[in-house]
Amino acid sequence: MEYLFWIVITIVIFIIQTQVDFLNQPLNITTVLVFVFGIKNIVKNPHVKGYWSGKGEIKSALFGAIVGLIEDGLSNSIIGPSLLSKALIGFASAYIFTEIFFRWTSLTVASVLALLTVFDSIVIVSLRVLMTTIKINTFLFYEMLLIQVVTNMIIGFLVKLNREEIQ
Amino acid sequence: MSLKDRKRLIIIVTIVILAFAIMTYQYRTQRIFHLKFLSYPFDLLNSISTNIRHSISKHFDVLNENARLKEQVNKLLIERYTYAEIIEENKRLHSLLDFKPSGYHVVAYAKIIGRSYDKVLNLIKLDKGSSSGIKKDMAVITTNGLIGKIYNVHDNYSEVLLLKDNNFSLAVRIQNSRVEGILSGTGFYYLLLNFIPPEEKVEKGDIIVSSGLDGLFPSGIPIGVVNSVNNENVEFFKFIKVIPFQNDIKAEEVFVVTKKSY
Repeated sequence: MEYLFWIVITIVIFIIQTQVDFLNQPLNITTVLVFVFGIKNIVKNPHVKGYWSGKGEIKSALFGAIVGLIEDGLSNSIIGPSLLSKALIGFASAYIFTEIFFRWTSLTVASVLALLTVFDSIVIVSLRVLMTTIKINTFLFYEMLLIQVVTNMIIGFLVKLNREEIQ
Repeated sequence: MSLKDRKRLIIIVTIVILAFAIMTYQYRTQRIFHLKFLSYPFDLLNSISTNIRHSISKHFDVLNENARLKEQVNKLLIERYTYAEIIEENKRLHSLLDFKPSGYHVVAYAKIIGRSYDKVLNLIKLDKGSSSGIKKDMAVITTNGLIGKIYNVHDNYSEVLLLKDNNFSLAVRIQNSRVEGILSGTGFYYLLLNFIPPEEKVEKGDIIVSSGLDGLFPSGIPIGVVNSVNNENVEFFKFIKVIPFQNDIKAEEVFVVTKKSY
């Protein structure tokens, strides 16, 4: 049932991302999707209370890789940039949650999401420019990045974390 | 390094190596893996959601009638543009008594079903593809003028690279003076008309049409109007900004056209 939920959410997110834009710039809510999956799917260590096992990181990285692969496939371009970026974001989401921040607030969620959005866009655009023949307008890239970071931070503030999972 | 950290390192290294191996293979062989099994259902869903959105915003009965009338009006307007350009060309060539008629042939009438998933390029998706006769690099126009060219083609869908994109350029001429140049997208709201020497007379308000010399686009397609001409500090070529006739955000229906074969 949980898998079905994530499949439906993923499809909906992809449709929204194509249909909706903000200030005429595409959104990057798949990063939010992978991030939320990462922090919602951490697995507690059954042997040591209060610690997490590494299974969540593998699961999130795999989910991120699948989302990235779909994203690359849909963009009709080279397969790999989004796969790499999203897989690392999935891994990082679970890792940061369990190892770096132990006290999560809306601000930390939004800030981490902003950083991951910047990472995602830079990795994808850099690899696309490097591996294909396309050119990009740097100013417009920064504009797109700024809008994506702002929208993702707003979404980040709305992400509700289960306190029981955190404590 | 603990066992857990070692596992983490292995995961990261595996992801990076795998991704780079796939990308390098595609880069070296120049073969891009097209995951059609992913894009078809997605395009279908995209198309459905676009249709639902349109249907909600408009009355059902009026919609069909409106679309039919719009198509007719659009065809007539396109004919008018073709005639205007032919008349202009006819006037010029008549004196030479050696003319070749120009124009373009409408391959398909298509609806824009949404923005393409590609976030790097300025692409839009059309609801028609190779099954309707559409091929790569065909020109895409509206009643206002050129909007872009076909970038990717599938059986029932295609993607259009917009005029404003950095990677877009075409051969053009100024309609009245017949001065020829290359028009390039900038990513911004305006386009740049390049390779116009300083001695050529170009004024604000001059209309730019495609020249057809690039071998891709039919000649005479209206593109835009000269917005500003910078003659100062120019060594080789003028700096000319052109505003396109067609605002890509407002377009809903387009025509895919190709050179007319005689």
